[in-house]
Amino acid sequence: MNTFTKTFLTTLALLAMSSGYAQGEVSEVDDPAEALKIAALEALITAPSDRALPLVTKVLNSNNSNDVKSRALFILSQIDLPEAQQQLLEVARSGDAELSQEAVRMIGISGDPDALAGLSDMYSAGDEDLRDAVLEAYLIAGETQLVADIAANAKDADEFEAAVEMLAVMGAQEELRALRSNGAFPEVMIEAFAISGDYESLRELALDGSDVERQAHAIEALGIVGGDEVDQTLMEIYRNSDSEDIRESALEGMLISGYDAGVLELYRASDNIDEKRELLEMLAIMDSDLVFDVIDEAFAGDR
Amino acid sequence: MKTAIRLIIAAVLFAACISNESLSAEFPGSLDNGWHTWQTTAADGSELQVYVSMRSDKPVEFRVRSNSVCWDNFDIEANDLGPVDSVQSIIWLQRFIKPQSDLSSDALMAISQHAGELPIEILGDIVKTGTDRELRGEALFWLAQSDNDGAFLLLDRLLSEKR
Repeated sequence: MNTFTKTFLTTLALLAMSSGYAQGEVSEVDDPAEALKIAALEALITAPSDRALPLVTKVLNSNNSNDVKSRALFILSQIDLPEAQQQLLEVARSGDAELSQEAVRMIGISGDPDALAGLSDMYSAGDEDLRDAVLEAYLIAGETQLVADIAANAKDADEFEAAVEMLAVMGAQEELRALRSNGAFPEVMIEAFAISGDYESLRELALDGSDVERQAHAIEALGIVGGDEVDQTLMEIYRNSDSEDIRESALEGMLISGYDAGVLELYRASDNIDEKRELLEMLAIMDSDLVFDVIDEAFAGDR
Repeated sequence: MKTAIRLIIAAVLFAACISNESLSAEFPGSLDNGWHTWQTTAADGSELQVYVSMRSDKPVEFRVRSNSVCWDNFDIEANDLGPVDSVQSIIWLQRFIKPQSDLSSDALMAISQHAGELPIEILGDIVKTGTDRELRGEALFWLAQSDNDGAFLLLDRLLSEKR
């Protein structure tokens, strides 16, 4: 670590201490020697890299518990030396599954591009737990393209789904759209568009009547995205559709987005008693206070 | 009678003299309320400015300023006590390291910034024999910050303990 970093960290530490933040407390692990080791490792986080690396390496190569070694891996992820990244990769490739997965996550935390790229081979050769750890590492590092590559080259539906879900959490709209244009299009993509907040892609699917089941799913998923644009699209779909299923999906979408004002508007505009009943039920399900507006209007009519 | 009075006066003066000597030997002696400061040597050989805030004859806050430690918006008028030997400064600060004391963290940090091996010995003792978990953690933190061979030997020993 350079002098600036050290000074910065020292200043941070001082600020933390002055505000009463208890940093570096020796943890309450049952074994006092182990607790002290963990505290000593955690203290190394602000130590000069060339001082910290040999000590951390020694801990990893000695007969220590996985708890201690896991802390050592975290410290390793914070050391900005190529040897530290190399060491992380070595542990990631080691036989101990628990430590291997932890090392993979730490590579994600370190964000080192070379080490992250090295995880691709491990993903292909690893078991499900290791593959999940690699995806988590990419999530932590924000490596959307590497996750998209995994999705594009997935060997089965489960692998594809896991990668797409990760892209959704990462908000990787561009990568998800690219996967769609590649032709791959299971249902999980609609959920991914919703979670990533991709209104445009969902709207396109929601207005596409070539596959009614998929269209209905996309309409409901619009509700997850929410917002004024979504509300207006759902109203448009409801008003313009002749299909009972599609209109029901639009209402489900409004339920999910909490657009009770739209449901009330549809209620007031409707002359169909069955439809009015259904819309009123929806307002009640939404636990909307607008139900009372409808009731007040009904009583006003009686007066 | 005169002789007796002379003896009494001489005894009182002698006692006062001894008492004054012991007061002045104890750095920094009696301090008024407010901020006081002195200069000593920092771990990196540069100047270390130590600040203490006194209230009712007791320190309530310590701060240091050096090449590697700075405080934003810390611009106070302090009574300057001048240059002080590093060991003397450390020993005075060490008195305020006590378990569950709010002042301990400040004192520990201030000591860690001083020159020489004494800060490392003090921090090492706290790590090895201290009873206050928080204080031990802080001592470890400052040891790791020190960039001192002795400190890292100690850390190495701690980390090499057999299971």
